[in-house]
Amino acid sequence: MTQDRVRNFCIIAHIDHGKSTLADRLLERTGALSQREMMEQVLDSMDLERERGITIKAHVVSLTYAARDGHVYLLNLIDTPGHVDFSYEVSRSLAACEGALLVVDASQGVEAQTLANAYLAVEQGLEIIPVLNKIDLPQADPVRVKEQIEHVVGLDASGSLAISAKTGEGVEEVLEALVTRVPPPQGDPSAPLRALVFDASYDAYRGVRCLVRVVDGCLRRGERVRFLASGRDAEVEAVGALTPRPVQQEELGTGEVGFLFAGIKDIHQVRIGDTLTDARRPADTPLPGFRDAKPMVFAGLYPVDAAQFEELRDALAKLALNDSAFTFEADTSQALGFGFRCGFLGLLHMEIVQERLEREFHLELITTAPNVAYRVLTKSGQVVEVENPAQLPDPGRIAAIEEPVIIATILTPEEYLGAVLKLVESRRGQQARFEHLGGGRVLLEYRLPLAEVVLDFYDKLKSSSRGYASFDYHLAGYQEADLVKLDILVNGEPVDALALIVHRASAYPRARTLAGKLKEMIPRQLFEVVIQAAIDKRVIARETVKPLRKNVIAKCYGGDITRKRKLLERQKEGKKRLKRLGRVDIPQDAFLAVLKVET
Amino acid sequence: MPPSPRYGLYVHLPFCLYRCSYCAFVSTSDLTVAAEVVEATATEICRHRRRRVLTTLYLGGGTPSLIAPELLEKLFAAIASTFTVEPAAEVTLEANPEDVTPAALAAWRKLGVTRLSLGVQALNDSVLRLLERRHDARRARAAVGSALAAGFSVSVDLMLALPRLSREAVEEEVREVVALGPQHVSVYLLEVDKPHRLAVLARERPELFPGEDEAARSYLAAARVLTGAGFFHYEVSNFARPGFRARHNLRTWRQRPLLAAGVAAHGHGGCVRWGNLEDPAAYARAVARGERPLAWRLVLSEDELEREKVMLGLRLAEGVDWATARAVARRLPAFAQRLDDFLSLGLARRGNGRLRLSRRGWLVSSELLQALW
Repeated sequence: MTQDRVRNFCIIAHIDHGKSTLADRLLERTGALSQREMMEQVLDSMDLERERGITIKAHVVSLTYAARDGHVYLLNLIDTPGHVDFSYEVSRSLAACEGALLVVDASQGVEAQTLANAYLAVEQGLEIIPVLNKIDLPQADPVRVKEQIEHVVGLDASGSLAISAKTGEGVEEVLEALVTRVPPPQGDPSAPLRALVFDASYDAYRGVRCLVRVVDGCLRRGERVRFLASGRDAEVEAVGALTPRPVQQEELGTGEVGFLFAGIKDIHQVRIGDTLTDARRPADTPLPGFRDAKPMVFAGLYPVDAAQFEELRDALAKLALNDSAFTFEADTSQALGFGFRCGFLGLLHMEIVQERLEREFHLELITTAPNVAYRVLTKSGQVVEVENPAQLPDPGRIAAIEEPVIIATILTPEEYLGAVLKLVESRRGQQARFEHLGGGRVLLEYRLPLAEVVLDFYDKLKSSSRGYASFDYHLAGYQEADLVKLDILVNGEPVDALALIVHRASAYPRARTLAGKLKEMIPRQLFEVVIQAAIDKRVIARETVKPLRKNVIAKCYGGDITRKRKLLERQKEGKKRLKRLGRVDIPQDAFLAVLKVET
Repeated sequence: MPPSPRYGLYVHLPFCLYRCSYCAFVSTSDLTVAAEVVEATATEICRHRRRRVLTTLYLGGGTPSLIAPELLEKLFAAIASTFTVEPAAEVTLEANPEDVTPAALAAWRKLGVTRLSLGVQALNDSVLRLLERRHDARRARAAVGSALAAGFSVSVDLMLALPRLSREAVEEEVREVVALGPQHVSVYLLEVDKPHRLAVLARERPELFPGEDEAARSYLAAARVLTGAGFFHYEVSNFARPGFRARHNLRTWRQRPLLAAGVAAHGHGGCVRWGNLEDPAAYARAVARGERPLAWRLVLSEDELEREKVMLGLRLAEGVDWATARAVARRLPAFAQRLDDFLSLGLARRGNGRLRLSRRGWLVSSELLQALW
């Protein structure tokens, strides 16, 4: 199909604003799937995706649509992960499109994710078609929402479409708008091949499957191609379109989107954002915007049962096969034994990995409190990346510590503004934007340390706004901060798994509450247990767990021997959940105490 | 000729008028089945091997003092016809203070009972009411007095860590018990973790109960008063004047063979442990069919037997021989580690080839004994 009959587009929306329903409707209208094949929300194929209503991996569906102008068009829907954790992948997916449908719930209006994703789309220079969804709802207010789109997002909303993906009303107009308003691809069919790799996943039989967008030239089966960033050559074993079923083709033409297999066995050899070119006639310049997706949040994962260590390793390796942004390396904690230090793009990413490990691999895990990656400048002029607080260099060697910061976008009803402001201020937030949006809503932009967000910020935001505030963020580099390592010592021994890096100003209250929490969680033992929190060996908080004075003085006569033995066995069973540290038994929960400390 | 082995016999009489709010023993309040069950028990006794020598006999419950003397007579007749009871045998009967009447004392004496274990529990009326006991303090004092006067050796059961009882009150109470003149005192800390009515109270009104520290202090205070008065603290919860240790129970703690008869009775001998059926009707039916009324039977391995020996031996002041403890510790690193903690903290001591727990060690002995299993 010639380029002028191809339209590449994506749908961007806040969660629950109806992205997947609209996608389903488009599939149905174009006959991509028969009614019988239509399963609710076809695109989110993982169980977890369907359950949480989020898209984790990018998907592509090629639709053929007979437009009112009498021509047949190829509409490629590129479904992108919507969550901020995957924003790099989002931006790569957007780079494969010329247009975007910006879906906004006409009853709820613009939300944080609407904004964040719309900005990404604007950055990529996409033609944005605002779509007001859910107009069938009685509380729908398309006029107000249109105003918001103009005013808040800064888009011309005059051509916005009012639809109901649920009833199907207006869906025809969406298809027409895609044809008439989204520009066709403008690639050069005779130039050397340049194709953007915007997703990669692993297929147990065929190796790595790449999703690609051909920008210039043509991608043919049997040709040798080169990945420009990695420098790797490979032979194209198969190309094709997804309808959504994979349909093999001889080639993908200029401007087209589809899949590619090239005999690659390791997903880490394929980098999202890389440019694919002809190995014999390589293009000079790669497509713009490639960078590695780097994990930002780290946590230790340890098997509850030490015997499951190998199983955990295998499971992590399997997950990593399909997730190039996820990293893991073996790690030993004095307290928790053998486990792995894992890197994630963000909190959601971490939760997903954890949940999949427990659900798909049936592993019981202890997860340490997540932390961000710090950049430490030493006095000798080195820059050290610190992913584990226990590994922070000696304070004497540190010249400065930098932490990652984010720009957070928050939309909240005015009545919760006070509580929301209090929350962001308490997290060292700096205001960058404050705007009344009308309709009783306020838009806030804050510069916040990522570390202040990883633990419980989202939950706190939701509870201080009764669930009404919406939140999104993007990374905004590193900044220097007055950070210190807080060591937790139990009977004089530092516990590596409990060390954390905190801002100096909050070190004292954190130390006190954490020590207090641990005191509650550590059971009385044969001797006194002293819990100390210290900065650079200076103790700033101390609690003691008094020694155990009695457990049970029970009768033990004839018949009781067996009963007594069984009781002891049961008590012992309960103690299996304790980790012995030196002589002190610490319950596994205690390693998550950090998470439970109110800040 | 080697001395013939001697045995203890435990007879369980699972009848109470009332299930006390703290009790976890198997019993029933349905006295109508008593006659039938006691007769079945007599039958079971008669089926034991003939003419073994009994050195101790213990009738526990339940409340054996509730059983009519005529019924008890049948039991004793069965015992006499089956076993050879040593002339100096210790014959104990558990009794509630309210059942201790002159007539009952005379009847028990006649049957050959030498020792009464009295469920006094407390000498404070409001506490006794809370425990739902059917006697008051006055009745308890009188029972001890008249039992002693009738020539019985008397053991008093006392319960510590009771609601509304301060350490001072405990000391006072123990002094009062000593003054009553019993030869033996058993002291327990109330356990409110079992599913009985007091546990409900403990959950709803925790302030009524002494805390862990207070309970430990009460126990230590009681031990101080008793040892000061000449009692020997020979087992975790047992105190005796010289010559009055409970010989029957010592057989259990020293792994000496103990035969058993009656509903839910447990026995042991060598490496075998067994328990009878717990349901009185099922028990009676089994006996009637001529079967052994067993509910379970367990054969311990050499290793388990050794671990049990350590568990039981450490309850005693005499402790367990060090060689056994060390052998067990070699096999069980967790136990070795705990034992090391106990020794270094002075909760256990080694000497004269034996390992013993201190009084404070006894208080936290579960920490050590758990590591055995």
